[in-house]
Amino acid sequence: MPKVIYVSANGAAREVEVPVGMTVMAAALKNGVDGILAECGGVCMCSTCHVYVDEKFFSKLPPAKDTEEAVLDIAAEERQPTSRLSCQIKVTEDLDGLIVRLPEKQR
Amino acid sequence: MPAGTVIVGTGQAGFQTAASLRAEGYLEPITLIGEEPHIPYQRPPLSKGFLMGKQDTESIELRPGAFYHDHQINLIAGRRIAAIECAERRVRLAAGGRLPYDALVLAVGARNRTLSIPGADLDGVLYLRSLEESIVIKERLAEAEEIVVIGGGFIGLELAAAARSLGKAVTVIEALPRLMPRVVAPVISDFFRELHTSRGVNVLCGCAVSEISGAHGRRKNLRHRRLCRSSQSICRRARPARIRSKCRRSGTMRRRGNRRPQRVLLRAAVVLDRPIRDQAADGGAFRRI
Repeated sequence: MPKVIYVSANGAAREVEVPVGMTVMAAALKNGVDGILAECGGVCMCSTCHVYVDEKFFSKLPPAKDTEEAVLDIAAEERQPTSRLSCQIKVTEDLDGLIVRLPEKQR
Repeated sequence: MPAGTVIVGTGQAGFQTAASLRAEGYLEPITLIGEEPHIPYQRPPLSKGFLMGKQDTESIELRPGAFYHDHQINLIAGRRIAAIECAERRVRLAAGGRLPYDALVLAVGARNRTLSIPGADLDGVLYLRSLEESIVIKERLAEAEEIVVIGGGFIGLELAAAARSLGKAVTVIEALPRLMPRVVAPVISDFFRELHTSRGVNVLCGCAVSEISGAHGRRKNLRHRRLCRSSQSICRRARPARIRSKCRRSGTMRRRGNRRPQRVLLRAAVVLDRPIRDQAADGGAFRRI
């Protein structure tokens, strides 16, 4: 099963095994990873699951859709070049070892 | 030992209150109590992804069950509060027993208004608000061919779209002159009316349902089946005397602040205030769909 590594704002890393097809957001909630709120429940509406994707993996992700681009603009913490909404990242075998850094605040 | 905080209501607000208290460093006891027999879940999927089978009861949980234990939130699901005893700072449970509190949060949410027209108690007249109700609708949708949604707001339209994409014949009846009138501008109402119509949903605005006809109970006799056609065919078949004429004007329909009820009619038939073909003929408020 692919692994996703969540790195909190203070640098603490947490490795989670994620079934293929589950989103990075849902896996965080399911495994009690602090720092991802997902207030809208994963429908690309609220930006509280904002993550900074490690550069090595960023290019492997399908590009963000217009709605995600728009919602990223309202994220609580400043948007960076590798910002994504974790509710829009579905885990695949190809993403095994995916590293996402969590912003200090989500709202 | 402090009594801590008691939160009544296990919806999103109650859940988030508990989660935020812990996230902000609150250390005293937290009790989250509600009458629904589930751990807190998201309601939005109940009118779409859940009905379509894209999400299940587990995937709509706001947090997995372990979250409450890990965050020392005492979750009591399936219990109703009977009274608040303010002087003693405690709540009394309907099933007996009391819970003391230092702070009490009421996050009990809204309730659907119920239909008070003839036939509202027929089998197949369903409401949508809770997970239980969504489960029933999902089950009934599997065998229903034609459904009528009363209420053309967000939830009604989502449900209509879900049912339509499952291949059902769907009619949406909205009392006010346009869809989602309290929350969007007319241009957006028009857009969504076009969209739903283009997908094959029969959209009726400015229509109040005055009666639902059909056989009582769950027995499916012939008459019942015959009446289980769509509202359109019923309206065509119904004798004029059975069709009430009291098309209401906009602005008089709803009390503000009420959450609009979503009712789904499966197998029961709706009698409209006027036959649909008449509505189509008068041009102005109604279009032939």
